Amino acid sequence: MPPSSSGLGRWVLIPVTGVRVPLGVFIMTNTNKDQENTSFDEQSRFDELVEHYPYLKEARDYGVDIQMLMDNADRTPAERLRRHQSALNALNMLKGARKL
Amino acid sequence: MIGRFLELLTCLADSEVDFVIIGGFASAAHGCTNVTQDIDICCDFSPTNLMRLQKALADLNPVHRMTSKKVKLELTEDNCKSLKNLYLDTELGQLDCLGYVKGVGGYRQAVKVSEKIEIEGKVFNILNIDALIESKKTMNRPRDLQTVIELKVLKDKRNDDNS
Repeated sequence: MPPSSSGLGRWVLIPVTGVRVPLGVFIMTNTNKDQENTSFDEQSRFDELVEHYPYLKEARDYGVDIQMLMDNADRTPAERLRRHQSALNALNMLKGARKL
Repeated sequence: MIGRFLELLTCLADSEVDFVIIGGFASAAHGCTNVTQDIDICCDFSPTNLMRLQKALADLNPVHRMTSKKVKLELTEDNCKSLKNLYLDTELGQLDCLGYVKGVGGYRQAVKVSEKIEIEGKVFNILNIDALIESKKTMNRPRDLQTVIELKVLKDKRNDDNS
């Protein structure tokens, strides 16, 4: 389930429309296959973003999680590194997981 | 809480080691999505700074991680003169110390192209986005190419936010 769509959220200000898109309404897909199933609305918002940030298309085609990347962009270095440590902790837990 | 990596970096900073954070951890600080399992730094490889580094790591059981028998770190003013890099394992994680970063240069150059970040009250130098892009492009490994793409997006976003 996407995050809540109420409120302004912390997301990019789309210069064309002047509207700040709530995070919960704007879910990026990160594979070309998934792109076939995205709604026209989401695709057109992505296209607007790509016009503004040209490397986004390359990032998406490379398989980068665009939503995560743009969310990180809005965080402070300390917040990003906290997230990074959480991911690392999860990775280390998995390493120690017992196979059943 | 940011954990062990911050603790490791704090040990270095508290012992006044001169260093710049580079590599995957710097990329993560800028917003890249990849997870790194070690800390890479570019540091001054003068004997004085290396002895400070050794002192900083003294309680963390540092060993040379590239040696088969995990040789303990035992630097002297003499034996560290010829060192160019140090690849260490410590109780707080892996620490790779480079005297030279491809695409950037030595420590002095790395400082010139670094910026300061604050994490839980501590200030550190990290390579700026442009320098990270150059160093990753020079490495030219597939995972570095992904990082370069992400850094370019993040750079554009930051320029946009600052304008």
